Amino acid sequence: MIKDILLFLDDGKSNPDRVNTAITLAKRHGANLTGAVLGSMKPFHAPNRDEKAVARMSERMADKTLAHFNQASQQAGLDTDALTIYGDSANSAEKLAHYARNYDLVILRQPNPVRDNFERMQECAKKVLLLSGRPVYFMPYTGHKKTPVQRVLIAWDGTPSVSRTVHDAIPLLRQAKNVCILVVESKKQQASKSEVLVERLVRHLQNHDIQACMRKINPGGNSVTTVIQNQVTEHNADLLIMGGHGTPTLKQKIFGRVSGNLFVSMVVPVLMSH
Amino acid sequence: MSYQDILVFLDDGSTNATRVSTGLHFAKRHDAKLTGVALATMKPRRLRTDSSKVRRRVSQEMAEQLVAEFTTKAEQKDVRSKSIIIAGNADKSTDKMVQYSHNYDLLILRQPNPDQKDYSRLTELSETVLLKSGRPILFMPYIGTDKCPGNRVMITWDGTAAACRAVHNALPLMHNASEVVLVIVENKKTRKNVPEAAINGFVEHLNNHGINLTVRRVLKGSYDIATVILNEVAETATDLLIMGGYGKPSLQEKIFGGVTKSILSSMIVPVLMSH
Repeated sequence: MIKDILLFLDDGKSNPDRVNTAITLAKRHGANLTGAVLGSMKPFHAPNRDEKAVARMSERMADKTLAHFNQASQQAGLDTDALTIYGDSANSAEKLAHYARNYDLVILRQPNPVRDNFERMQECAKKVLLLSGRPVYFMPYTGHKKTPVQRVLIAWDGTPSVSRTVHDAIPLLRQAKNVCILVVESKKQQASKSEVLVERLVRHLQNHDIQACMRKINPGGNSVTTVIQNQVTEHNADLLIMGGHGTPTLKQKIFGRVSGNLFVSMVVPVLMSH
Repeated sequence: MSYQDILVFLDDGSTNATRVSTGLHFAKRHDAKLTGVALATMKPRRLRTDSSKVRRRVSQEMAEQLVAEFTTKAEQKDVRSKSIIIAGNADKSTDKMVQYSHNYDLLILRQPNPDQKDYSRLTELSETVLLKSGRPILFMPYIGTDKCPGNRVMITWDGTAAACRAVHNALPLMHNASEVVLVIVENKKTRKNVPEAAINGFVEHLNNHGINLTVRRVLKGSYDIATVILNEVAETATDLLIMGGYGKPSLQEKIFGGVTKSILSSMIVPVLMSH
């Protein structure tokens, strides 16, 4: 069950959509919603002046962001909590990850490569995924206005990561109108490990009252990333569920080639657990 | 969320009966379906033969017998059940186990017994399934248990993602507990990862899930962490330990973390681990 949702707030373009998504999900699941803001995040429009001025502007922006959030929640008739996280880039990312442990769902933003805080947002994403183990709902930096979690596409590759994500997402999937499991067929002759037993996954989800359909697609000459992106569009999905790293290695990698690409180029929100 | 699909590992060891009854108990409580799985190439304990043909036949027959006994018990308890016999050698059957495990909310395996011949195969199976399935595993001790676990629960908490996953995966098990205690073994890592404020937030979060618990901090002293944890378990009459399982699945071998390996080899009560 989803009882506690953590929402990351900032002054980006995707913030209003993120707030709407969080409020919708909180109401739908009867969950508590906490808005979190970074106290030392340099605002979009702040020129590179002296440190003290930037710090002051950051604090003011954080307060303003929280005020907007409180207003939006009040209008929606929802009681919410607010949280300001202080500290420099590394510290605040870790603190955010530690708070994230106390939530059933964390809503972050996709880092925007055009903005100054790109690296800092990437650090937040990585730390939260790695240190909290909680499912993270990433909102694309271009925003996303559709009602959340109605038509879901699961990019299934048989890794523990996607298995965790799907199980973490069960409360969300139960309220979705349409759930589809996509398996991209292996180029080799033998069926890849992920293709086997997907029928059983469908049955397992049915036992959880989730009616999921399944599609197996041969990539042909296309890359796996392209196939998944095309299916998201064709399926008119408003959420892509994916795993992270495919091949286990000694290093703690979170994203593999395909998931990394999908993360960078997402057009709809992406849900992922590490 | 509650458990809908539970998997229980069947073999001819002395703890099989308790493992099955634990599985049936949980399945009944959560109105879940219980699946019994046996390995077709696991050599029965009392078999002495040099002929590979005989070994194969007897192993297959043993698997079928285990499954038949399991199905009967499930029917008697009025629990919906299914069974799977996994064929193939050690590596192949381990791989298949991992694939099957994705479709379950809880897996019930057994702690490998170093005195038995199947020790290395079972250890390999346990480590691989723990690290590659992403699902929570309840390991049942080879010394046996005298009651169904889940009445007095201990969570050993170090603020890491694995521990966090284990607790969330175990929520349905904790709802019926008469007591839940969260224990933090104090050392450098936990002092950094688990400040007071973070713990209060976590306790509140679990309260929101309907679980009341107390928190206890325990000094490590000069002991290793696994010993401290096992001492706590023994001293408090805990019947279920919940912890994160650590390890790095590498291309060649699965490397288990020190504490995880120690607990898995010396556990005295059932342990639920998630990676």
